[in-house]
Amino acid sequence: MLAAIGSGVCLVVLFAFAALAVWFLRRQKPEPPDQVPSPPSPFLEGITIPGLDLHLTRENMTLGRAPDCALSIPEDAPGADTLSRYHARFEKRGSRWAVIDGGEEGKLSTNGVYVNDKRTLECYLTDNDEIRFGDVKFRFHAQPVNANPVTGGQP
Amino acid sequence: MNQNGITCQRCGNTNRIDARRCRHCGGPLVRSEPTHRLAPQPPAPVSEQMVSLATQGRPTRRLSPSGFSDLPIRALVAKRYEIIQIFSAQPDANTYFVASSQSQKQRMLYESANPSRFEGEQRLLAQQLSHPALIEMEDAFQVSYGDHTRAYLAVEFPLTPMPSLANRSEIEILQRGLQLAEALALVHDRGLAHGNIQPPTIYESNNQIKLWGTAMPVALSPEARAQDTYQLAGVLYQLATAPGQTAPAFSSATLQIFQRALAQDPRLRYPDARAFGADLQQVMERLRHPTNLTTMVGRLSDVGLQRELDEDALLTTEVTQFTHAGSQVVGLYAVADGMGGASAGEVASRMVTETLAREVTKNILMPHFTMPGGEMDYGAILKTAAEQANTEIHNMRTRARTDMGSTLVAAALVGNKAHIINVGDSRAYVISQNGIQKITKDHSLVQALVDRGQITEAEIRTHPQRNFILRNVGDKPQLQVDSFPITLEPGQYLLLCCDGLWEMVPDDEIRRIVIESKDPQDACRRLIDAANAAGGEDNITCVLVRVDNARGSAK
Repeated sequence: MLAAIGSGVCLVVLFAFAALAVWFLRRQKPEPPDQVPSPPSPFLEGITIPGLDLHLTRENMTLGRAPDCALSIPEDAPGADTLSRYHARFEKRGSRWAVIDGGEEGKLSTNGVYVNDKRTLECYLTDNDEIRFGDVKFRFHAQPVNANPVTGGQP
Repeated sequence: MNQNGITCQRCGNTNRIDARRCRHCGGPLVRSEPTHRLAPQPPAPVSEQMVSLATQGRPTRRLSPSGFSDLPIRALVAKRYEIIQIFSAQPDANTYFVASSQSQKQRMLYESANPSRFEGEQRLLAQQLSHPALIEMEDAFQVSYGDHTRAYLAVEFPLTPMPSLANRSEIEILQRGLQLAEALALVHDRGLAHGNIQPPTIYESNNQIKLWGTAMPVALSPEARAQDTYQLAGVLYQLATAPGQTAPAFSSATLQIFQRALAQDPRLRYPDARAFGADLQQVMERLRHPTNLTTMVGRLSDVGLQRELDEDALLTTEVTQFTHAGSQVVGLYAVADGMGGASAGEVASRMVTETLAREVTKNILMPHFTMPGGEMDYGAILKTAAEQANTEIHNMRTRARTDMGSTLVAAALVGNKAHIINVGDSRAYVISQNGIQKITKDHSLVQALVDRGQITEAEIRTHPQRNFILRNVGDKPQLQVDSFPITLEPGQYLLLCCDGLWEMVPDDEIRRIVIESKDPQDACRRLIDAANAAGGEDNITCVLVRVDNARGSAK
């Protein structure tokens, strides 16, 4: 009984905290009435894992099986077992994006990075390049397919 | 109960899925926060075992390695060579056209499946040698691809392999041979043997011949030095041989060099590249500049004793260049004896020398220095210049209704070759210690009489009609010019003079004065004195050129 009350109080406190957090976040990012689309970020379109689209939203993102990769591939996705935990890194240099084998400096992935089916340790990307990590293939899109996507969160 | 739990990486205990810190050890719990969404597939039920494997690191399933293959376009090699184009892709070697961020230059990048492929180049690269005929290497290095290692070599771009030298002139081939020999000597100077000079190790870049530099792992032996030189000569010989031919079209002097360089008996061959290069250079210089000469020139004109006006004109113009390769003289010397009443003679002779100076500067001196090595027909250029002067004087003569005209004797001296032209009765002589030789043939009535055998040479000087000229510059719309190519030896003199000298002073006396004078200018003074002493009937003009060896005393 006491435990039930305890957990109830806990829940209430948690809920209140969550509400507060949501309010805080909304206050930090007020959405203007005229929706301006966020700057288009390039993305990787899943080929061997259809529907798995990875957006390159930061200038340096690691891809791999490890959960702490910015671009983390689920363990059970097809072909994911050929990925290293930290397989590759995407890096923005000037206006170009590069893919680099190995998530950590100096340590290569087990099965390599292929751009347009050619093994590489480091390669600049261009629109429509096919990038393969082990058995997992993506297509690089320099711009989102839908240039002006309908952003969520609107009433 | 805790099917969706999260395992602490520090102590291995399972916590609630929403826990931030481990309730057993207090360590932070790392949660998978993928930024992607897997839209069509509902999240698969994750077993406890899978989660624990994911966090601990399940081994990656190893695919069969792809091994050596070519790299994709835009790949970066060693963080500084970006592949722009693939030149060739082979099972064990690739060639790329790359942009180097290290040198900001375009380079050729060679890639080999053999990690030790460019060790020889690395050895040479370490010496930091630089020579126009050595291919500029930027870097040689290795890159590990995990399952294999590749060797790379970045060199200058563009390069044309195995350039044919068959359509090159002999001088151009000798020059390239000399440069390659110098480059090889430089490699040898560092105690390195090339060890593999073959036609495919010879390249060309922007008209510059290049040797692909590599070095053997062993110290340079005299045998290796000689062997490299032998191979270099063989490659040159091969590249200079036109397709379908068995030997290059070389002069005998060049062939002799190659006969020695490629002799069956190794003891007869050149001991090193420097000796081979020295011989190539010697023949090349001999072909380019016939001999190594310099000149001393005297010139003087005098009105004589019986005339009031000097209607003669003379011209000397000379460019002498001393370089490490030797000395080269390009000179033009001329004497013009003007004729015609009412102050026309001096105008005509001046016009002849002016036109000659202008035409020769434009057509001999300028091309000589802007296109060195180019072959020119100096006699034809002189003739054209004389014709030009003829047209100008003839036009003026027609307008002014005078009888103006001029004789002309001119010599273009290039190295030891003199191209002499004459119109009228001014003469060119070659004088040496032993004799005097008249080069030109007068265009005069008396000379015609000599030719017919009616009078003797000696009678020319006293014949009453000796001043009757059959040909002069300006007389007719068309001019006939005689041309005499001669070769001058060191110690010889070339004398150009008008009839005011040669009619007054006998040939042998001219020779004696020239030989006995201390220098050509002194000789000219004494020749004029002699002519005046003999009567000085006409204007006296002479140009005397002494040819000497540029180095050492005259033979």
